[in-house]
Amino acid sequence: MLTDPFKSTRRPSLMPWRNIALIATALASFAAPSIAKAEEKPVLTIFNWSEYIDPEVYRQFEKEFNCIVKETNFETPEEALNKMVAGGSRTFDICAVGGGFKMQAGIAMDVLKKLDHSKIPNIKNLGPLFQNPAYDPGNSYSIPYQWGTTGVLIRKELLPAEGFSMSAFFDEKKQLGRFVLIDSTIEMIGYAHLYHGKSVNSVELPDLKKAIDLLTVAKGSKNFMGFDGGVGGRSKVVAGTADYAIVYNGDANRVLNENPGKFAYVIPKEGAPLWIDQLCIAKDAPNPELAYAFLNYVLDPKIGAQISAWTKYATPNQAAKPFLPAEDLASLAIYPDEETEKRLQLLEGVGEKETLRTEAWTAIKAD
Amino acid sequence: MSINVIAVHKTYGTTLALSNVDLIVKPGEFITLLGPSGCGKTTLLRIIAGLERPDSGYIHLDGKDITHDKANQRPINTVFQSYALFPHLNIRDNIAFGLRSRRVPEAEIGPRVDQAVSLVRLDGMTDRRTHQLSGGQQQRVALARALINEPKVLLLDEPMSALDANLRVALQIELRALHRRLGGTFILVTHDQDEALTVSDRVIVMNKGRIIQQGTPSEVYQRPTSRFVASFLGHANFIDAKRGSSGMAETAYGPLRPQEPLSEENATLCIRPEEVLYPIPQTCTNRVSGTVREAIYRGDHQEIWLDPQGLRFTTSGCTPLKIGDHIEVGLPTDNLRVLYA
Amino acid sequence: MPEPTPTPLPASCPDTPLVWRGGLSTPRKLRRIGSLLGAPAFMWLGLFFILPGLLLLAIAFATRSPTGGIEWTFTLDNFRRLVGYGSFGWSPANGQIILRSVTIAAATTVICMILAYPLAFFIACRPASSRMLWLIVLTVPFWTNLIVRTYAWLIMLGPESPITRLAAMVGLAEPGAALYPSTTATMLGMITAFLPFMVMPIYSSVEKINWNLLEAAQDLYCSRWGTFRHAILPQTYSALFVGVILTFIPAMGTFLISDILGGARFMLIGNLIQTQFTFGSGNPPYAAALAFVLILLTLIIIALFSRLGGKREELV
Repeated sequence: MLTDPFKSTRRPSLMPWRNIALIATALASFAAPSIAKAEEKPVLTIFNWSEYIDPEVYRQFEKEFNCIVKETNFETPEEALNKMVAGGSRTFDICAVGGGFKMQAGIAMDVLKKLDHSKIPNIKNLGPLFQNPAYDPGNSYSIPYQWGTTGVLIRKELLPAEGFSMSAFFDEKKQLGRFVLIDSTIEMIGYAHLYHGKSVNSVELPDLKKAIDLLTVAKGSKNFMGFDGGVGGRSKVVAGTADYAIVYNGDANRVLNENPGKFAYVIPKEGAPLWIDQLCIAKDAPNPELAYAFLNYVLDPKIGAQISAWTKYATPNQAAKPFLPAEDLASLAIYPDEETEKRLQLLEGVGEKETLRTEAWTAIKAD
Repeated sequence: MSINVIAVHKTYGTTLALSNVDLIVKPGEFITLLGPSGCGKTTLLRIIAGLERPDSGYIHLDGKDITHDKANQRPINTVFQSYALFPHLNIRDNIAFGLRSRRVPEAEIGPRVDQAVSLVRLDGMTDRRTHQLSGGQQQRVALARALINEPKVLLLDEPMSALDANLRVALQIELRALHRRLGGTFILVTHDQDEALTVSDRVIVMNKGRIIQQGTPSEVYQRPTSRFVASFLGHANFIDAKRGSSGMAETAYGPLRPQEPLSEENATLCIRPEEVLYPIPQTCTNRVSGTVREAIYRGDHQEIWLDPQGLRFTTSGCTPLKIGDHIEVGLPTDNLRVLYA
Repeated sequence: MPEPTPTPLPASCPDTPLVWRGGLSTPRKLRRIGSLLGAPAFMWLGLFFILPGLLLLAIAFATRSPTGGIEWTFTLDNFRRLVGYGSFGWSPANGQIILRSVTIAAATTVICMILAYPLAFFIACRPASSRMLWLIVLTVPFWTNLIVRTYAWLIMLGPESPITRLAAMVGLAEPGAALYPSTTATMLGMITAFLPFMVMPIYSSVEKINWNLLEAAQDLYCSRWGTFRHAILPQTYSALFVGVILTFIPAMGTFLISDILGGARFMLIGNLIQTQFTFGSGNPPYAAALAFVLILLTLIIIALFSRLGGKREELV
């Protein structure tokens, strides 16, 4: 069985062809303000991944603030940033930003508004880990929206008793079956770094060189079934084309819920990348007041719980926890236990050195 | 080289193209397959060329069965109606084509092309493209392209149909001279009776997939065995006749004495316009009188239609006839043929 | 015998009256009408092809800004990187990526060519009534998006599909394994995606082919191959040229199929450009240089191909 390849969850692959289909969406979104003028109610335009929020939240917000919410979707964080630079900072009100590593670029490209925290009183609801993130000290430009991990989805019977090690990817002799790697530069390089015991965000040349060699060898293995996005990897495991794949925890959760007992989501012994997605206000948002109201709304305990119960990702909203479904809170695939949490490393931007990761990725994909 | 067509039969779906055709072409002969369109002449030519397979029957070349040889295995070459010159090649390469296909050494090709070029008098044009040539020149390229292979049999599929009348006559004479010079067996397909009579040693008249009559040009012209042949080659007057007494034939003109007595009750008498005698000599017994319905001036002769039966004849007599003249003409017994078909 | 050979018409002055489609006109007038009718197309090309092309070239000499944008400082650095000098020293990565892109595109084009001729003749030889049907069958895939068609191959080549089972039965694949990701799968996807682009022009020229030339070639001792080479190929050459352009150029830029069916195992030049055009993590000026190389490379290969055809270009 192949799940619908177009239904992207929060973190679809970096596969770029989807951009083509989205040009139309983008054009439509640029046309949106002129239409909006004809309407009486103010419009809040949100630039987000598809299926990354409970649509009911929009309806509730519309009712409460007497406005209209319009959502435009992007497929990859790269695409989102490119569009923000290409005029999106004037057309969108709120933009979802893909992880800390994109935040830096977003701030640097001057497409985001510096936040006035007095307009977001609910910001106090954030958990201590999210109060002062390295990628955006003091949350001056963003509020954390959802967070998650990039782990491994595996057929349960293949899971070794002693736990899952990345050698199942990188050591030909220890492979457990056919596998799919994730088609994402920083996450795949991050995996290689973790295997080598380095920092997940390292851009030291020797570390990157080791990562290139490691991944080039893994790619040459007869068990390697290709690079794919989280959704693609998940589909291949479900279809039986592959036995295990690197996926996002949200992708995995859907499979775990739909096929109880058949699959498992694990964080490798060596660790795994942790990521946080943000919501930001566009630098020249047409409707900043409404945008502030929305950020505050999202940070409301009950709304925060409603969103995460729907997305099956973790919420950074500490105050929302009591309102979350018990089975979500108990799921290690959403909220890792303390022992696992120690092995997670936050993905971050490396500024100007970002090109080094791109270059390393090119080298990996060349041969 | 001799070609022997034995009981060749060919149909296209339900359409009969050739019905058990037998034909012997003697070595060095120049024959013409003559007939109206759809008579099967082109099909017969294509079967000889190897471009079509007969349903049954055989083709022998010098006694050897070549029925199942492909076109490229037969020592036979064709000049196509549309010439079929290769537009991407110049004249020289077109002419050299057959030699190159057979991997004749390049050193040998040069002189032979020159020879073929001068044979068809295209000297100095060999570097041109085919579209830079006139129709007559293209036709001669096609001829040279076929002849350079020294084919045992040369087939010509209505090679002059696309040319204007003057050029056609000139090329017909040229073709005859070429045949005399080169020898070899030529088979030409045409629907033009003048062309057939001009160029060939022997004319094969075909109709509806069959050979109706064959013979030298004068044989088929002078002694047609059927109304079809008589009317297809030149003009002819046909007079319905019934057997009369003592070798006479009863006709609308009254009793006439034909070449020979009628062997059947009904027959057709046939006489060509130029055989009708006017002014009429005293000795002529078959006399017909009538009024001039139409008189057409043809320079060296006049063409007359005579009422009431529409008898057509030509005269080069001294006094020109006018419409309405009442005259008497003679139908000489020696020329008044009897046809039963 | 003297025969008139066609002579070119004398060059006329722009105001010499001439008859054009039953009306009186002058070359000047006709030229004006011509440029008027051609103007929209030229403007389109200028605005959306030449202008962006020049912009691309300009960007190729610019510098990456610290934030990953474009900074208008002249540099040749992008071209240095192009030939392989990067942060890790010299690397053959670019060469490998370009070579792989060209190889896949060329192989696709050649295989499409080989498949297109029989197919075009097959369709052209159908009776007029069913010919339309065959053409529709050929174009039906275009009604579906390329991504969907490519994903369809995933199902066709999946472990459960009859094709895969057959391949496993004859020992071409491991039992129970999918036939993707693999080079074979990529090529299958590429060929099915591009075959119609090759068949269509060839079909339209086969439909108008002068069969007499085929007979003439046979009559002049050509083998089957010789007949194809001398009678069919020259007549369909311009169509083949069109087919090659329609196939090769998009095949050079496509990476979707190799990403899906080849498991994104390798980058193609399209992936590379896309990656480098990303703000933040990429290097847009370098991407511009790469894109320019792609255009240049495509033009060179097309030129080489048309050279290969040589004099045939003059034909028709």
